[in-house]
Amino acid sequence: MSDSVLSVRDLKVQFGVDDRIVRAVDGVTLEIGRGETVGLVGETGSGKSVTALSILGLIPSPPGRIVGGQVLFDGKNLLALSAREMRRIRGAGISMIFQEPMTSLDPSFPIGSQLREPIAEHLGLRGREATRVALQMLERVRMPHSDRVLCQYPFELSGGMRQRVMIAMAISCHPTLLIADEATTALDVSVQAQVLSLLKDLQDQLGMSILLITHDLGVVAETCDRVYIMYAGRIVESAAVDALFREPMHPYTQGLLAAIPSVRGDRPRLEAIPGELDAAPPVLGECPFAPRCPRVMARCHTEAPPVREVKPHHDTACFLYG
Amino acid sequence: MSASTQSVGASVKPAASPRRPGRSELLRRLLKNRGATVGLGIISVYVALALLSHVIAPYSPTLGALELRLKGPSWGHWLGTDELGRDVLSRLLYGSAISLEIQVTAVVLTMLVGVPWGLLAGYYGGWFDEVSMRLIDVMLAFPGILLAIGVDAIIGGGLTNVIFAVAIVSVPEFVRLVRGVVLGIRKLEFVVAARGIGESAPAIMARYILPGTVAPIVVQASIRMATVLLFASSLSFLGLGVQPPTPDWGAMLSNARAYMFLAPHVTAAPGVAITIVVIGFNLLGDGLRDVLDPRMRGS
Amino acid sequence: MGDVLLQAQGVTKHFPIREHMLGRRLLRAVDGVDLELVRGETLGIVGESGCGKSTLGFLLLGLLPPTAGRVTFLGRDVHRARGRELKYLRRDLQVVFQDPYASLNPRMTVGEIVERPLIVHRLGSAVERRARVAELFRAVGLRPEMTFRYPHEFSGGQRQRIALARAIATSPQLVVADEPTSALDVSVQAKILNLLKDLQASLGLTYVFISHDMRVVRHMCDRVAVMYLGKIVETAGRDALFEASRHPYTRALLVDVPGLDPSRRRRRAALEGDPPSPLHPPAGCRFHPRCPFAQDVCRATEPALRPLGPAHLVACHFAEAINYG
Repeated sequence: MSDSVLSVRDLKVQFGVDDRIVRAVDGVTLEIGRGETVGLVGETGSGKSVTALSILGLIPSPPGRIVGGQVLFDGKNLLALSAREMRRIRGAGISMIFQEPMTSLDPSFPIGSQLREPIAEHLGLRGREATRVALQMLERVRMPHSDRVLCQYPFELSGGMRQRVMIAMAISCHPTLLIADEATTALDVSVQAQVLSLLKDLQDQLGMSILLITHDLGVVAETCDRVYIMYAGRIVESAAVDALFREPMHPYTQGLLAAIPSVRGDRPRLEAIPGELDAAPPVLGECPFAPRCPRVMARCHTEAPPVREVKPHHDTACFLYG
Repeated sequence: MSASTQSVGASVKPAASPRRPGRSELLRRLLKNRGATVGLGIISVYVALALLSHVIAPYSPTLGALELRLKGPSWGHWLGTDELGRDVLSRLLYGSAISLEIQVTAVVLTMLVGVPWGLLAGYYGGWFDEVSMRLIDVMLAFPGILLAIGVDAIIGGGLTNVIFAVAIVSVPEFVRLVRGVVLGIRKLEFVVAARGIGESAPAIMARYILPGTVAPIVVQASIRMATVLLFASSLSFLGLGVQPPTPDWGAMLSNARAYMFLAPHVTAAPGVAITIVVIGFNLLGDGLRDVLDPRMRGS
Repeated sequence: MGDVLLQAQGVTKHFPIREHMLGRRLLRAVDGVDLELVRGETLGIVGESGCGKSTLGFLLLGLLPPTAGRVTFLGRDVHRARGRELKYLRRDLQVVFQDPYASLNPRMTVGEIVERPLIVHRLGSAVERRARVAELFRAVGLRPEMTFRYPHEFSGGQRQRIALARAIATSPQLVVADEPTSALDVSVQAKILNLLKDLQASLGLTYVFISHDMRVVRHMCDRVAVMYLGKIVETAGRDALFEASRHPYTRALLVDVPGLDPSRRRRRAALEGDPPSPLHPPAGCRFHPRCPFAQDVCRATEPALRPLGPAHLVACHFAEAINYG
C-alpha cells in the first residue's frame, strides 16, 4: 500500500451519560493511504461518526472522553497535541464536511466571508487576494455563478450548492485528508451523484485522501477503494471494495448486503438481520454481534474475536474463520 | 409471520432517548437548579404566610393605636408601626393574602381567556387569527402598566376591578405564546396522523395539541405572577386599587411615602416584600423553563 | 384486473407564497396530475425533493384541499365528503409517515395511540378494542405487553411498526405510505418493508408508496409514477420502468442510483444542475434545462402525458425517438 496518511490505532472513546458509560468506539484500528478513498460503513450506533470526530478532536468533552489509542498523522499523535496545534491541523492538514450544510454554514454571514475565514487562518491571505482564492475555490467545485454566490447567504442556496460551498471551504487549504461524514445522505440522488463525482475529481487534482463515512453501501461501491465495516464501536471487517462485495466474510456484512433492495430487482425478499442494536452496551468478553448472529457459536459468547487477516488484505473479526 | 418479526419481540429494549420525566423526576431536577430552588423557597414561604395570615398575625391590620404611631421595630412590633399606629407586620401579612388572591385570580382568569383564544387562533388560522393578532399587537403596543392604569381608571378602582384590569392586560402575552406553540405543534406529523384517522377538531386540540402547551404556559404563568403583583401594587400605589383600610402592599407604600425619611421602616417593609416575591416568581419561572422546555421539546 | 380504488383527475395544488410586501408568488407543488389506483396493487410515486410527491400524498388522502381537480375513492369525492361519508373515508384511507419520531403523540401510550382509530370510529366495546390492539401489535411483530409504554421508549423501527398498527387498525382498504423507511437504518428498513408486504398479502391492502429511493421502489411496487416539479413525467409497470424507461429524467435518475457492483462504477453523474424550485418552473417541458436531448419544441411546449405502450405513459416530445443506447 502507498504510504500511510492517517493511522488510527486502537482508538477508544467513551460517553458518560447519567452514570452509564457507553463505549462508543471500542478499539478501532484503521489506515488511510495517500490518494486513497476509504469507506467507513455502519448503521446508527456503530460509532463511525464518533471515530471521525475523534480524529479531529471534535468530541464534546464532557460527556465524551477519549480513553485510549493513538491517531497518527504526519508523524504526530493528534490526541496528544495542544489545542493550538490541533487548530492548525484542522482545515489545513485534515478537513471535514458534514451532512447538514445548513447547520455547518453560519446563516448570518454571506458565503464569501465564510470562505475567506479558512483562507485567512491557514494561508494568511486577506482582502482581494483572499477573495480571488475564494472565487477560485468556487470554480473548482463547479459552482454556477460563483461571483454572485460570494455575496449570497446560505439560505439562498440549494442543498447541493451549500454542500459545494462546504467542500470549497474544506479544500481551500489543500488538505492531505478530507473526512466526509454522511456528506451526501441528505441530498437527492442526482445531486449526490454530482457531489461524489466532484469529490473524486478533486481527489485526482489535489492528491488528497478521502475518508467517506456512510451507511450506504451503494455509495461505497461507487467511490471507495477500501472499506471498513463497523458494528457497536468495533471494526468487524475490512477489505478492498471488490473483495468485500464479492466475498463478504463477517455475518454482519453479509446481513447488511442481503438487506439492501436492489435497483436491478433481482431480490424478491430482503433478508433482515434479526433483532436490533441495543442501547445497552455490549457485554465485554463477547462478540458484540453474537446476540443477533445467525451463525453464532458457543465460543462467541465467551470471547471477543480480534480483527485478523483471513485473506490477503481482507480482515475480519469473527471466529468462523479460526 | 416472517422470522424477523418474532425476534424483534425477543430483543426489544428501551431506546436511547431519555425517559419522559415523571413528576418526582421533575421536582428533583428543579431542585438541582439553584435559582429555581431559591424561587421555590421564597414562594412557598410567601404562600404559607398568606394562607396563615389570619392565624399568625399578632395584631389587627386595621385597628391602630395612635399613640404608637411610626414607632420603629421593637419586640412588641417586629416591623414597627405605621402612621396610624397599626402594626406593620400584621398589615404585611394580611397584605400578602390580598396580593396572593389578586395574583392567583388574575392569572387564572387570564389563562381561562388567553389559552382557548390562542388555541383557536393557532389551530384555525384564517381571518380569526389575523384579527386576533392585530388586536393583540395594538394591546401590546402600550406599556403594560399604562394599559393597566387606563383600564382600571375606566372601570373604577377597588380590589375586584384591579384583578380584572391586570388580567385583561396579561391576556395578549398568553394568547401570543399559546398561538405560537400551537402553530409549531400543529405541523408535527402526529397531529396530521390524528386527522388521518378521523379525529374531530376538538379532540385533536384537547388530546394532541394542548398537552404540548402545558410546559410553556406554566413557565409563563409563573413569571406573569410577578408582573401581576407589580401592576397591582402600582395601581394601589396610585390610589386606583384597593381602598383603605384594606392592607395592600402598594397602598402601604403609597401611604408611607410622606413619612419616608421619618420612619423608613414603613416604606421598606412593603417595598422589600414586593421585591422579594417578584424575584421569587421570576427565579421559579426561569428554573421551570430550564427544566421543562428542553425536555418537552425533545418529546 | 381489479376495480379502480382511487382516481385523481387533474389534481392541482398551488400555494401562495408571500415573498415580500407586495409580491405574491405561486408555489406550484402539484400541477394537473392524473392517476388511477387498482385494488391490491402497490403504486410507487418517485421523485426528488420539490417534485410534490408528499403534497400529492396529502391530496390523495383528502387531508389537503386541491386548488383544482378532484380525487375520488370508490367514486366518492374525498374533499367534498362530510359527516358520515367523511368518517367512512377516514376509516378506509390511512397513512404512514416518514418520521417515526414525530408521527406518534408523545403524551399517549402506544396502546392508546393504536386504540384511537377504533374509538373514533366506534369499532367494538372497550374490551373488544383492547383485544384488537393486542392483535394488531402481534401482527406488526411487537409484544402486546408493550402497550403501556410511551413512544420515546421505542426505537425508530419499532415506532414505525406502531404507526403501521395504527394504520391498519380500522382494516382500511388503502394505505398511503410517505417515505416510511427513509429515516431507518438499512437492516431495520428491510424488516419494515417485509412487514409491509406481509400485511398487504394477509389484509388485502392497496398501497401508494411514496419514496425518493429507487431501490426501495423497485422492491415494493407493481407500478411506478415518476414525478418532476409537480407533474408526472412517466408511469409504467415496474419492470418496464426500470428496464425500458422512455423519459430522459427517469433514465438519468436510474443511472445515478448507486449500485452494489464495484466493477460497474460510473464517474460522471447523469444529471447536471440542481432540481429547480417549484416557485419558478421553466417554460415548456419542465425538464428541458437539464435534459441532454432538449430541442426548441421542448423549450416552448409542455409535453402531455401520453400512452406509449400498454400501461406505459410518458410526457416527452421525443419519447419514441430517443435512442438510449
